[in-house]
Amino acid sequence: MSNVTKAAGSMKEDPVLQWVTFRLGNETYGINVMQVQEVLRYTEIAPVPGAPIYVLGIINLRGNVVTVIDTCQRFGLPPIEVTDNTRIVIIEAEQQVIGILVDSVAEVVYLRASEIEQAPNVGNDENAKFIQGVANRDGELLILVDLNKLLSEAEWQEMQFN
Amino acid sequence: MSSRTQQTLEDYLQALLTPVEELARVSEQSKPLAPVLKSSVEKLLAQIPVEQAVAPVVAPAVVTPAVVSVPPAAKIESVTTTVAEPAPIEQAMTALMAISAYKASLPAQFQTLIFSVGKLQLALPLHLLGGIIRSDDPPTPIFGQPKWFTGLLQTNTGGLNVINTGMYLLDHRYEPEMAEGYRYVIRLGDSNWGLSVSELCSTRVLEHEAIRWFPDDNGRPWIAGMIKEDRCAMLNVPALMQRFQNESQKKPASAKKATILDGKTGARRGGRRLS
Repeated sequence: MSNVTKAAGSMKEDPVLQWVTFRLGNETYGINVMQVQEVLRYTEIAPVPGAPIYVLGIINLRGNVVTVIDTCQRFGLPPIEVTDNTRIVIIEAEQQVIGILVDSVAEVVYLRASEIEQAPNVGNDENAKFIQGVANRDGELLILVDLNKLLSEAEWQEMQFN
Repeated sequence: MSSRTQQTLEDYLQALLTPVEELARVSEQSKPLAPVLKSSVEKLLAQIPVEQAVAPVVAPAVVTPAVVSVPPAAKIESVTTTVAEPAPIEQAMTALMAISAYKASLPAQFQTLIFSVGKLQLALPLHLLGGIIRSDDPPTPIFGQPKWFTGLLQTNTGGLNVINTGMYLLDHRYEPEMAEGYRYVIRLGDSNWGLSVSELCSTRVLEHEAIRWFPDDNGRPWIAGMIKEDRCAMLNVPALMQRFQNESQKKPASAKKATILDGKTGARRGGRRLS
């Protein structure tokens, strides 16, 4: 078997995934790069009356309305303070485009599937379902987020009408 | 032993069978470690090899290994040369849940590590000690977990789930200051669970008679009994490991492996048009 074929086989068995990393508080999180459309500087978010608590509001993205999710609220973390590094990451999940507010966006990292470990899953807290896994990246623990589970099916549907 | 001392000891032993309020109250009576014992612990720690572990950092930069740990098997055995060879921990796990079975599994003489969690002193057999990790850097918290789950500590043997021991064992009698004094994490057997510990106090070779064993139905299966002389609780390690294991199996994991998205999700790019 040629080296090229071996390498291709290895890639198939243990694919390399790209993750966009961002920070919330003191921790670093990763989201699948395929789901990231763009990263925006913080811009004024217009609150939506009657919106769910996890919705910060809407922004105008080149003439389109994008709902911005309060990521901290969703993860059960303390609210973040808006700084120069604050970003709105525009993502697509469950056939919708939304924004998530994060402290900062760090980099794109490459991880082999085998490097991703199952996250601890203790207790019954609903927030835990957002975690896809964890990975050790240059000594830093990366918490990988499953964006598709960021909202429940009903919440995704509700999002369409916000 | 005078009757007064005997009474004090009995009171203390009884306290662990009573609600946690009593446990916390009695634990405050524990005395600081004598210098001679400290030296024995330091001697023990000196035999612990360094396990490369990594600590979370803010920037994606090179990280200095900051954790000292005891890898399982070999070195632990070298510390416990005077005791009988223990059974493999995995085999012991299910069989030793009951205190009576746990007691029966221990050799006639076995070495024990005594450690403190705040003012509460606890002990466990050395052969069930998977490692000691100096927790210079705090574990990485993971959202969505119970408060007693401190976080994930990266070691070269994988992630270690770190428990806030005081919060878990003392429940509502736990005081937040207790966590500030945590300096070590003790890995339970070969599991990926670790107990936060304030101090490593001493090691002792014990015989069964040195322990007042609790009945199987004492309501706290993870406490096997009390070491009479040291007035500290002996942990039932298999029961504790099983308890954590049960906690982690309360619901299925969201996803074990990452899925590859092909980018063809059919998402509506750019959101909705402003009307």
